[in-house]
Amino acid sequence: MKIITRHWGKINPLKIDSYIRQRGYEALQKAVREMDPKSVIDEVKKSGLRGRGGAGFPTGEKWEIAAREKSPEKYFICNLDESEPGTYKDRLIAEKNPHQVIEGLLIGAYAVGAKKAYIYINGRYAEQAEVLQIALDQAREKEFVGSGILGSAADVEISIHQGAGAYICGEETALLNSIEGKRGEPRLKPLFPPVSGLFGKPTIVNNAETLANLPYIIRHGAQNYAEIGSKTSPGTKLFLLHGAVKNPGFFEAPLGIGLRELIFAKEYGGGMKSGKEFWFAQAGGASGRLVPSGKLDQVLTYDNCEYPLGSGSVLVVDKTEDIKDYLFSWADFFHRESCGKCVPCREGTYRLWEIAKRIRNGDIRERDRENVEDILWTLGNTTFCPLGKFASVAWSDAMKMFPDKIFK
Amino acid sequence: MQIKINNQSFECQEEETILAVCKRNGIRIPTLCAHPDLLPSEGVCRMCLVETNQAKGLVSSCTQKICEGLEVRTETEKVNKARKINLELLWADHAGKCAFCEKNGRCELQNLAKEYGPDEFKFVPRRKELKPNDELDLLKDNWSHAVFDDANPCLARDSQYCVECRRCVRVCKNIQTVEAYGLNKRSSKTNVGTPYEMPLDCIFCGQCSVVCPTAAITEKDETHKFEEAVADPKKMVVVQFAPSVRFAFGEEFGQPPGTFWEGKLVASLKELGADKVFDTTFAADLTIVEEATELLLKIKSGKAPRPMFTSCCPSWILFIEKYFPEFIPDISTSKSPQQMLGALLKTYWAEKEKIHPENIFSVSVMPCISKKYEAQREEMKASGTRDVDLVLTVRELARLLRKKKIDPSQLKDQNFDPALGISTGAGILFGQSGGVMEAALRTAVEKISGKELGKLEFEVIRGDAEYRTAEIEIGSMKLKVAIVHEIRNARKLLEDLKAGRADYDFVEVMSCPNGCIGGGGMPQPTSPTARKARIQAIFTRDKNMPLRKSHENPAVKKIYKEFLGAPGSEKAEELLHTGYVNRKK
Amino acid sequence: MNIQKILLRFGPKAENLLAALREIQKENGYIGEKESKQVAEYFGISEAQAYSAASFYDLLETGKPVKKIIRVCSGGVCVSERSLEIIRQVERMLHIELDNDAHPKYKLETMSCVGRCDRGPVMEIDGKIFEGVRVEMVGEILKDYI
Repeated sequence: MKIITRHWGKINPLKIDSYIRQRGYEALQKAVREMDPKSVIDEVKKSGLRGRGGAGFPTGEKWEIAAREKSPEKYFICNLDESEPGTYKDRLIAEKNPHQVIEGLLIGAYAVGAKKAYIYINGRYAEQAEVLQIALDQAREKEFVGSGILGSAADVEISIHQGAGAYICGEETALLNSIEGKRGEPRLKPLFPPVSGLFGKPTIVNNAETLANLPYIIRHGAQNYAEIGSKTSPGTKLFLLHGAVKNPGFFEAPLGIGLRELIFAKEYGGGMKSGKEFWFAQAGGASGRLVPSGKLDQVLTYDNCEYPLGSGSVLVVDKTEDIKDYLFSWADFFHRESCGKCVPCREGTYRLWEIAKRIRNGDIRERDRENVEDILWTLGNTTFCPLGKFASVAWSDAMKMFPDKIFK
Repeated sequence: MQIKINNQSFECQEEETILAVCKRNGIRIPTLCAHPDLLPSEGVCRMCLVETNQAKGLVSSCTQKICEGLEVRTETEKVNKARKINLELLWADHAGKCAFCEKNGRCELQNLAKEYGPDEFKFVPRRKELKPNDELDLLKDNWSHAVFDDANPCLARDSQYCVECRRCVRVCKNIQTVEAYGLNKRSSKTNVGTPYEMPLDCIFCGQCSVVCPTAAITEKDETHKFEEAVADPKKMVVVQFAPSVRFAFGEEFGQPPGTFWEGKLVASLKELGADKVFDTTFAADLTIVEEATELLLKIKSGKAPRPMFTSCCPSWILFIEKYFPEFIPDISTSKSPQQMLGALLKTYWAEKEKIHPENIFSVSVMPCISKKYEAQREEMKASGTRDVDLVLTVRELARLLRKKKIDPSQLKDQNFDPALGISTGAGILFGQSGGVMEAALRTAVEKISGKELGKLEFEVIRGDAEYRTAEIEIGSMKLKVAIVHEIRNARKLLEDLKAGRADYDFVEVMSCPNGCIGGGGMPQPTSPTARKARIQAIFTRDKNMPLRKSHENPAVKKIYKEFLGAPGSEKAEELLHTGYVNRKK
Repeated sequence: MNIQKILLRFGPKAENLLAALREIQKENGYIGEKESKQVAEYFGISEAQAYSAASFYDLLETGKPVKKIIRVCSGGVCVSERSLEIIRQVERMLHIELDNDAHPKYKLETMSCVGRCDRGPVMEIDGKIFEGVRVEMVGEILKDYI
C-alpha cells in the first residue's frame, strides 16, 4: 500500500500536469467545491491521521482547535525543517512530489480558515526549496493557490520560508519565532499554537509528511484510510533504514509494522549485511531509543509504546562497532543544537559533550559515571522544552545496556 | 480558588503562578531568572521547579499558573536533586572568584550555593582565568566566551559571571525600550551581550545592574578613588548625597526598606574621612527655584504649545540626545541638583572658605548609575575643573563601609554641615517620580497666584501610575502637566507629542521605575514592595519637615542674596544652567 | 556589495528578516557589524535583535571568515559510514585537531545532519558539500582547497 510514494518516479516533479494526470489536486477540488471546512476536519478526524513529525498528535483534533478560534487572521505552516539526524523523508517528499504537500497544505489551510500559509523548509534544502517554488508558481497559475481557489470563496496564499541551520526550529514554537525574525527558541506552552501562534494568531504547524497524506484521505475517504496500518495509528509511514542492513534506504510501510520485519524482510531491509551481527537499532534518529535484539518484535506506532518511532529513521548497528563513537555523535549533535535558553540543556549538553570526547579518547575520570548520570537525569527531567529529554534518551539506554563498554 | 501547597490549603486568584502564591505565603522557592519587576517570567533557570499532581515531570513554578485541584510540593527528593544538579552546572560555568568579587555576600548565585551546597569541583570550570594549564584542551573553545567591557563611565560587564538569566535583556528591552543587550550565539556559547560585543552604548540607567543576580553587570566601582582622596592631605573631601539615598541606604545593612538614615549617613561619611557633608536636597530646592522661574518665563513668553521637560535625570537627557534630539530645545536648561551643588561648591563655597577649588575633592553619593556619566560631561566644569570629581552609588558606599568595617547602625547621628546643608520637604520629594513636579508646583503656584498655598500635597499627581497627567488650575490659568517614569513611558509620551495626541506645559521624566528611589545604583533587591516602602518614607519625611517649599529655604535665599543675585540671573545662568548635544547616530 | 539593494528586494516585515539575512550572507559572505546595522534600520528593529537572530543560525556568519572551515558530519548514520575516520584523516593531513582554533588557516569542525544520509558520509568545505566521502578520498578533496 503506497500513499506517500505512490506517484514517485511516475511524475515529473517540475511539471504540474504530470501530477494532475495522476488525479492530483482532485482532492483539493473536492474539498473546496463539495465540502465545507467543518466536514473536511471531520473527515480528517475520522481518518485517525496522526502527526508524522514524531509526536503523533491527532491532526484533525489539532485543526479543530484552530478552527474554533474566532480570529480573522490564521496561519497554516508546513513544517519541512527536517533536521533529525538520519532523517531525509521530507526532503524526498519535496523533491519527488512537491505538489502532494502543496495540495495537503491547501486543504488544511482551507479547513481551519487560514488565508496565509508557509512552508518552512530546512535551510540546507536549497534545491528542494527551488523545486517547491516552481511547483508553487505552477499551482498559482492553475488557480489552486491565491484568492478564490478554483472559483470558490477560499483564499490561500503560500510562501516558502527557508531556515538557516538550527535543529531546534523543527520544534513548532521555535519555528514560529524563526519566521518572526527572532532567535529560534521555543516558547512557553501554553498557549499552544492553534490558539496563539505566529504573530499571536491561531496557527497550525503540520509536518510535511502529515500533509502529504491529506489528498489521499479526502479523495478516498476517511474510512478507506483508517483501515490502512494499525487501528490507533492508521496509514502508512516513510521509514529510513541505515547502517548494517543489506538494503539501506527509504521504505513506505503501513504503521504497526514490526521493527524485525522492517529490518529483516526482503522487501525492506533484507536483513543484516553479510558477516555482520545485529547489536542494537536506534529508532527515531539521534533522539531515539536503543532497541536490543530481544525487543525487535516491537511494533512501530504512535501509541505510548516502549520504543517510539519518532521521525521513522532506523539505524542498525552491528557488533563490530564502538559505542563510544555513537555516544560522541549524540552528545556532539545535541550540544551544538541546544538553543541555550535553559540552564540544564545549555550546560548539561555541554558537559555531556565534554565527557563524551574524553571517553572516546580513553581519558575516563573517577567521577564521570556519576556525573553523566546526574546530567542525564537533569536533561530528562528539568529542561524547558523536549530537546533536553531527547539528548538524554540514547545515552541513558547505552548506560543501562552496556556500561562496561563505556567506562572502561 | 484554593490550592494545596505542601499539604496546606491556600487561597489564591486565577491566573496567578505557583511562585506568586508561594511568595505571598512565605514558602521559599529559589529563583534566579524570575524577578518581580519582570513579569511574566520566562522559566529559563530551572531553579524554581516543583512537583504537582497535574504533571508527570517537574514544572517551573514561575511560569506554571494555578488551576482547580492543584497540589504542589516544593521540597521533594526530586525537586532538590534538580536544584542541586542545575546549580552545579551553573556554578561550574560561573565558578566565581567569590573572595575578590564585588558581589561577595550579596550574590544570588552564591546564596543559592550556600543553601544547596553544590559540589564545587564536580565539573571543570569553563571560565577563562580559572583553569590550570592542563585543562586548556577542554577549555580552548571557550576562549572567546568571556567578554569584559568597561569602556564607558558607568557600568562594567564581565561575562564570566553571567548566568544567562536574561533579566538585564528584559529590563532593557521591556522597561527601557533601549535594547542594548541581546542573547548572542547559540548552545553553550550563548551569551548575553551587546551586538558584535561592541562597547556598551546606552542611556546608562543601570537598571541592568540592579536586576543582575551576580557580578556580571555592576556599576563601575570607583571606591578606591574615595580612599585615595581621603588619604591625600592636600585634598578637602566634600560629600553630598541625594534625597532618595537616605531612604534606602539602611537596606545595605539589614534595615527594612524605607528606613530613614540621614544622620547615620552623615556620620558614616565623616567616619570614612569626609571633611564636609552637604545635602543634595539643598540643591534640589535651588533647582526648583531656577526651573520654576524658567517655566514661568516660558509660559509668559507665549512660546507654548511646546512643553518644558525636567532635566535632573541624566539618563533621560541621554535618551533625548540619542533618540529624540528634536526635543532638545524643550528640556529645561537647569542643571541637576548634583551638578548645581558641585558648581557652587567649587565657586561660592570655595570663595567663602578661601579654599582653592583644585584642593576640593567633590564626591556625590547617588541612587543612580548615570550620574557618573553626568559628572563627566564636558559642560559640567563651571569651576574650571570637574565640579563633581567622583560619583558613588549607594552600593559602592556600602561596600566601602563594609570594607572599612564601619557599621552605620553603631554610629551616632550627625547633622549636615550647614553652609549647603539646609533643605525643605519639597527637595526631599525629588527622590520619587512626581516629586520634582510637586515641588515645582508648590513654588510656581505661589509665584503665579501670589497667594500662599493651603494644602501642600498635590494628590492629583501622586500615585504610582507610570504615565500620569493632570490639569492644575492656577487662578485663571490652566497648567497641563504630565509625569512619567521608566523610559518606555517616556517614549510613549514623546510619540504622543509628535503625533499631536497630547500637549503639555510641563513634563517630569524619570528613567527608573518610580524615579530615583528605584534608581540603578540602589541596594539589591529593589522590588516593587521595596520602592513602595521607600516612597512612603519620603512622604512621611516631607510631612514632618518644618519647611516644605523650596523658595522658603533660607540657605537658598541666602545664596541668591550673597552670590547669585536673582533666579535666572547671569551668574545663575553661568553656574546653574547647561546645554545639550545632539548625539543621534 | 550594496546591502541596501539587497534589502529593497524584501518588504520590511519581520517575516522577511531571515530571508534578507540569508541573502546578504549569500552575496556578501557574512553579516558584519555594518550590514547588521543596515538590516536593523531597514526592518525597524534594534541592532541587538538583528545580531541575536543572525548569530543563532549555523548558516549565517557574523564575521568575515578568515579560515577555511572543514566540516564533517558527526550524525549517527555518517558515523556508521566511518565519518569519524574521515575526521582523523583530515587531522593527520592538515596537522590540525578537531575544534581547535589554533591553526591560522584551517579549522576542523563537526556538523549536524544535513539530510543526505542516503549519500553519506558528508563533509563540507567552504560551503561546498561532498557526498559519499571515503577516507582514501580525503587527500584528493583537500588538494583543491589547500
